[in-house]
Amino acid sequence: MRWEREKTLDLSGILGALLLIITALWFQSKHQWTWYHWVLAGAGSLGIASYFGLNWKVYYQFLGGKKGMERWNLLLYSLLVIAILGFANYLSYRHPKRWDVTKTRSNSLADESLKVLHQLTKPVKITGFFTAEASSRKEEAEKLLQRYAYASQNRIQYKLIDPNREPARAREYQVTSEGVLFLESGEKKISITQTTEEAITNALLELTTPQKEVCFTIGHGEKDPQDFQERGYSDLARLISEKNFTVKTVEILREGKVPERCSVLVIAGPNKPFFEGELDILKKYIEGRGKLLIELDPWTQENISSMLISYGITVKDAVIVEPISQVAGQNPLTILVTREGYSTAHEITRNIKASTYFPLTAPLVVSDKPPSGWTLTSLLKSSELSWGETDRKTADFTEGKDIKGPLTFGVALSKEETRMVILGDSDFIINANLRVVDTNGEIFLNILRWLAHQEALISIPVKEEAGKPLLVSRSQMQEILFFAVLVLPAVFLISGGYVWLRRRGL
Amino acid sequence: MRGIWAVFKKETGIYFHSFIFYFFGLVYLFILGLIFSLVFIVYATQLPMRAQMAGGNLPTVNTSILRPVFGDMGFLLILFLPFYTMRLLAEERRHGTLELLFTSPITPAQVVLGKFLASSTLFIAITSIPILYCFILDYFGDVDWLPILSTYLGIFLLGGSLIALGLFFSSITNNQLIAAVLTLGGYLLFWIIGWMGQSGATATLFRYLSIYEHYEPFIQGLIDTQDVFYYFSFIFLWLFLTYRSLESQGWR
Repeated sequence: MRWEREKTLDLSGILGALLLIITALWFQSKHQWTWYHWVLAGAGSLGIASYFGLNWKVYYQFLGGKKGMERWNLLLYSLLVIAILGFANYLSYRHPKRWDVTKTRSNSLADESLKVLHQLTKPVKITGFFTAEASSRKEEAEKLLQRYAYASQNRIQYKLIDPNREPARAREYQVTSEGVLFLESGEKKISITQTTEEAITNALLELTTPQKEVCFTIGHGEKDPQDFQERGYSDLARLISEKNFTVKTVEILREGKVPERCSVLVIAGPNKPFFEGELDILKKYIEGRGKLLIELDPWTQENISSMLISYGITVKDAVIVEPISQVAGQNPLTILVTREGYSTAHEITRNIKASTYFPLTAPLVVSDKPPSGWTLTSLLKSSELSWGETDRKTADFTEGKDIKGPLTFGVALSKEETRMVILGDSDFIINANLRVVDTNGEIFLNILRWLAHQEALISIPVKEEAGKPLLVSRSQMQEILFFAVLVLPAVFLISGGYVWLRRRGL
Repeated sequence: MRGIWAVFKKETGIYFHSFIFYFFGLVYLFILGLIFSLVFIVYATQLPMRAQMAGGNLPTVNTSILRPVFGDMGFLLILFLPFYTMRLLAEERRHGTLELLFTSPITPAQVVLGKFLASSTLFIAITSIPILYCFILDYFGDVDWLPILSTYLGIFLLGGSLIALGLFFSSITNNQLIAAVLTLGGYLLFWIIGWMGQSGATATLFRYLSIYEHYEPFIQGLIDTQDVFYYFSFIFLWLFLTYRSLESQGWR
């Protein structure tokens, strides 16, 4: 009888433990606590309680008396040791010191990154959004961010969030895609989509440089950064404000000059003439270390273009027809720019790789003899098959009237501190187009950055591995196999056997 | 000190006489040799093809061969070491020789340390042999030696930790097989505990407790004080618990 009772108690104890474990796991996976859980947990606890409770005599004997004291002693002492070790480990975890012994320093940040980290004055918080499916990207990101945290002595802190498990945070940051990192320092916030060292270091660099103001002129039919319609620039405005620029509009006539706070002035496709007074202000601005981006569309009524002639740029009264655009399914009045169209002579276009689209663009003629002190660099050009169509009604090449390609439609000018970029189009970055082609936005950003003397983007090449080809012949491979798989173990066996025999007193 | 040395000598003697030692060594070297050769051959034959595709940025000998081989080694140890450590104390208990030890002037602490050092030393000896692979590789390619040394540091620390844990389990039972099973269970627990955490803080804690998490940096050529400290703490903890366990048994 007693034997059965003991067995039942054992069973109830084990069942009780199992029930509790199942309840815990169930809760872990579903994160819900329903009345089912209460029932299971209750039954489990009951089982365990009965096991200990009804066996109490055994435990009392076990834990009581002299031996019991010793056992308690042992337990407490062990817990104390564990606690101390835990605390010590915590300290070591907080203050690690690392040595990267690889030749290529593949576990550390590049020197350029370290330099940027030195310049950090305020703490930076990095929040990354990765779903559970993207675990490998998440791990890579975490490894990289750990290095930043370590190298910056924890001035950079990071947190990786799963947007599926914390949708509120994801909404707070307006996360729309996978694998986005947000870097915040003080008031500024920058987002990047690539989790590479280059992207992060450059973002950190942007965080530490003060924001520059980009002023868009208004009042002459220009594209408006606050216009949310198809032909507006609101998306562009958002894009550049995420990249450390603030966007403002400005009426230069009212101000009497281009305000000091404007780091860059943008004239975005005017179709009404400027006042004389305004042209004077612009000329003064240009002569006085101005940074200007002028976007002009074909056949618009404005008088900026006449001003540009004195700087060596002539805006032709034509629209560029690009037959090769039809290959990509575009109409020929949109220029499809491929690798050959980007000038490698200028940093604005040097590293652009993807294609861009420029609808309705006017050709620019760059003078061979620029006015003294000025350097003119062509940035974008159309293909040899293109031409500048002067007839507004037909799109057929007319010998003598139309201008043969390749045609330039983007130019960068610089003289001492002054920098200007002239483009034959302002539509490539309107809301309707920017949503479709984001490389268009990239070009605009590069132009802004160049104009604003934004420190050149640091390029951090992925750590090169110095692999050499192994010249191994087949027989050598066989030898290696033989050696590693047979010879080594055999040698071990023999030497061991020798020791064994010796000890046996051979 | 002399007590430790006495135990040490006796243990190493026993090991050299034991079947498990040779078996472990042989199978370990055999499997590792196999893995190494296969990885090496795959790498050597694929390299010209990859060179054409990647154009210049080739993976090195270190990353393509040594890392996977030594990474696997860690897991192999988990499978082998329980059988290597199971007899350390369990056998003594079964044969009653443990009591004899307690009547001798040797203290439990010396027993623990002696046995630990003996098994660790032999462990180091066996696992050091594959360094010969690295010489082979160096002949054919270019080997970055320091990460290999850091990998070995990791192996020694990982091995020491596993041995300490195995020693503990061997001390609480007199059945070797139970000791081995418990040890294997313990290894797996500390291995998978790293994946158990869900959210931020608990995930970090569980990952810190994982014995494998701290091994990886060594393979990648990163020597971090927190990993070293973790392993030392681990070894200390389990040796300490083994010592306590022996002490409490001495009074029975």
